[in-house]
Amino acid sequence: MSHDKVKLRSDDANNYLKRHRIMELFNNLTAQLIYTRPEKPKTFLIETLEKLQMSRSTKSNYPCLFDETNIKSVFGMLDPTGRGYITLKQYEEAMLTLGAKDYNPTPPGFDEDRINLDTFKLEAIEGLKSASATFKD
Amino acid sequence: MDQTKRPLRIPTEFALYAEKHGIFDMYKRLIEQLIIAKPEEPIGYLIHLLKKENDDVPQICILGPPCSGKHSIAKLISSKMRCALLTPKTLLEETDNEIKRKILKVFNKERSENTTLWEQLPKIPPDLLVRILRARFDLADCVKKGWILEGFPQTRGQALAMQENGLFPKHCIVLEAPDTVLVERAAGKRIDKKTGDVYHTTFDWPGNPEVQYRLKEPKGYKEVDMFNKLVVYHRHIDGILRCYEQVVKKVNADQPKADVFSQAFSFLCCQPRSSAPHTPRIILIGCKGSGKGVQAALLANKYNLVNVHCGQLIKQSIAQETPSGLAAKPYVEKNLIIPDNIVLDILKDRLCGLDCVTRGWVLHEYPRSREQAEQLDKAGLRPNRVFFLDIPNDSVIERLTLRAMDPVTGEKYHLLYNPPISQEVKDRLWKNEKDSVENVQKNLSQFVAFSEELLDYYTEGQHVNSDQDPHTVFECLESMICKPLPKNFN
Repeated sequence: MSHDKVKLRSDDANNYLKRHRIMELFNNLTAQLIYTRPEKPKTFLIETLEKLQMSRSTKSNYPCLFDETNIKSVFGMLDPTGRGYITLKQYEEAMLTLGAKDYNPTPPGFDEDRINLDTFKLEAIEGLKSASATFKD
Repeated sequence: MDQTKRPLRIPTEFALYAEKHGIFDMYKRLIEQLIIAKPEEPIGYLIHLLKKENDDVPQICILGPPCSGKHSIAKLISSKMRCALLTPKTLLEETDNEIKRKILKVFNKERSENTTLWEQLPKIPPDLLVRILRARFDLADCVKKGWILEGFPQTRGQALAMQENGLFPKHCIVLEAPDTVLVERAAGKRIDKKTGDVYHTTFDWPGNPEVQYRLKEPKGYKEVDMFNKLVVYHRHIDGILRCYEQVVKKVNADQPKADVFSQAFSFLCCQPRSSAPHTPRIILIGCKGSGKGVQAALLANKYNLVNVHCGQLIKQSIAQETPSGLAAKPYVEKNLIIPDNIVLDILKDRLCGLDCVTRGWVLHEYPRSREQAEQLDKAGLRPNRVFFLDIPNDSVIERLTLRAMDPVTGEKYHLLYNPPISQEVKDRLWKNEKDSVENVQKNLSQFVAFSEELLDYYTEGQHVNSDQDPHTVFECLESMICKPLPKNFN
């Protein structure tokens, strides 16, 4: 009886954590902490959380470690000869490396196995957004 | 994927950073509070928590039978740690009227006129009490400075209700004394009408005549009353203690006040074991013969640490002909002191190795001066535990000068601790020249010269009496490695 109750409670807690994407939120916070290593982690976390809250209401500028130039350079690395496009396989790997969640598996140009820079940029920004928007929709 | 099983790809500098700022423990507290409160707006709630969060503050419960000296000890602690002192009486008096009315409603039928509300605590619904507590704990003084709660919870129900609301003390002190002592003590109990301080006619009589004049004999401490109170106390205390098993410390209250206080205080200074990942980086400092090598070997064996003996490491690098080893070679051959930067290079190579970074290390025979200690810190190899193995000179001389070796069998003996059995062996024993009294004394005086400055430098260093059995010393070291270092409130 009491065992069931305990189980129920842990399920409850897990559900809560999942629903509000708390673990992902903390992962992102840790990533930010690792990257910047601020002198005052508490103040820094407060600022980051406030930024997240802001971007939640404005639906833009999600706090994220990658910006457009990073995405560009990732593309550049995958396309060293400057062909102007990458393969679908490369696209998938790149999305995983960037940590983008729920990226579009069928971006424009996937049937030809050619994904150009603009599509890549668009998809990456979209994917990163959903990865850093760690709250309940 | 299960979030806890994500592969760990974190740079090593971050581990140091996280350790320094207590990131892991902070995360743990935040998630704990989130799960307890389950707010609909977790981000806003986290900001609120982070703004008011103050981990350093004491949060203490002090429990005990009537007349065990709870109030006096709690008062001493609160003035020493500068935290808010909460008693059920003041809590109920300060609370707002709405809750008070609710409580009174419960009591209307059965409340007898001559008992006050706070003496009836077990009968008040726990959730109401917890609401009062919660409101009080959210006030600025409790948040900033911490709290000490005296004589509460009084039943298991109250303790559980507190726990459900995320109110859990970091330390719980239980004062204990035989019932007969308490009953005897109750007869002499006097209370200062103005301040509420407790005094005793024989054991704790105030010197100030003004206070003496104000003293009053409290009601409800006659022998019969005491028996009733003690019966109630013993009925509930075991249930409460089951909630607080991990944070409880029992202190014998049948001692002078100062002794009780010092025992309680030393308990409050120690911190609970944290589950944060932690690689021990230990330095053992002690003179020759204090048992550094033995302790390092024991630690390395039990906790899988890397045992780094500085002298051996230098010899090793010379034998392996590493660049820094070759640099050190001429100095060793001429029996000169090796320059600091060469030793540091050798050490850095070793301590930055993957095994040292992941498993932790225990270093001895280094540093020998303040500069060396500073250089070690600058190289990012700051130890998180420093132990000084204290031992009287006489014991060192006894330990070292009586050592001897049998040249035939190679067996090692000690004339006092491990003497040879036959006279024949005894006669042919050899003594190493290094173990002569003069040599040992020279060593000792060298150690005294550099240990002073290390003592100044490593303010967080812990002293261990190493003039004991090796395993006793080992246990002492272990306890200080597993738990966070005790706090210093001075």
